[in-house]
Amino acid sequence: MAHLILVGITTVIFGVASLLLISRARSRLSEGSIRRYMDNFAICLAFIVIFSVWQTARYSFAEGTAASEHPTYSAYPEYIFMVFAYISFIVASYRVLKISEEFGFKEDGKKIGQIMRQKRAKKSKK
Amino acid sequence: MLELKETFKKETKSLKDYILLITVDAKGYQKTTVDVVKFLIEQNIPGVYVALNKPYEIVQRNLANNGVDARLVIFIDAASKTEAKKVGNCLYIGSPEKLSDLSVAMDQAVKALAGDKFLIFDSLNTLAIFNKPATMARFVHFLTGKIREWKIKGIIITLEKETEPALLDELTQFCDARVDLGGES
Repeated sequence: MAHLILVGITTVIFGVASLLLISRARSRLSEGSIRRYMDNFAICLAFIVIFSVWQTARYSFAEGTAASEHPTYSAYPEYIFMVFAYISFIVASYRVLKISEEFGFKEDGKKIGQIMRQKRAKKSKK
Repeated sequence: MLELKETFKKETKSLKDYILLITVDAKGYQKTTVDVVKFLIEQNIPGVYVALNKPYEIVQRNLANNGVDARLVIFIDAASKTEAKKVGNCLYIGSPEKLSDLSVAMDQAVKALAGDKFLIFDSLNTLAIFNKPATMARFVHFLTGKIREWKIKGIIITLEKETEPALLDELTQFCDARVDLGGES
């Protein structure tokens, strides 16, 4: 059980560090699609961090008791946090899709390339 | 057009990619923007037009009225107050305050074009209305740095009387040439 607690504490530290980095990055961005995506991503991460905190706390308090062998009702919130994390991931992925629709100029670039080729061909015919 | 053409050629003669700062007066502003796009499109160079002053529809109409083929241009419209969306070859940002979105949009649009290309930033003084001077200075530094990195022809247009002299001086430092088309105070 002790090694599970150690892993739990490590993941919580990584999670909190990630949240701090996101918060720093967010403060540098102005309002808009990119910042909204970052908000979504931070929510996903927050749920995962809460999940880890809860799990680590449960392991710590259950250390040496029967509950450590057989998870009780106290494990249920973990599932809820994971469900919320996945829902947030879906929202974040949808936002990325929207961002790619907004900022994706690949097709426009191809069209412009085609127009230029046509123009050049016309010119050379003349 | 002829005067601008000559000045343009003189200033950028030996340069493949450059940053040109054009300061204009309010009266000659519209004509200058159209002439600059026309000059570049006539050389068969595609590019990106960042519109902060006028909505895309108006810019496109002005270009069409002057016989400019706007199909070779990707527009980024930060003047129209709409939600962020893409219609045809134009991306509506929604507000000139959204500098992060504007930067990403410029980066993506420039990288989507192949070969020789240009970026016209129209105009810098409009940004100053919506953003703090420190933010503006950082953005100007970012913009000029990016234009160098992209290796493109960058043209920054601004109304001289409406631009902070300190910012203008700083910007002039980063540019290869400055063309004053009226507006001297």
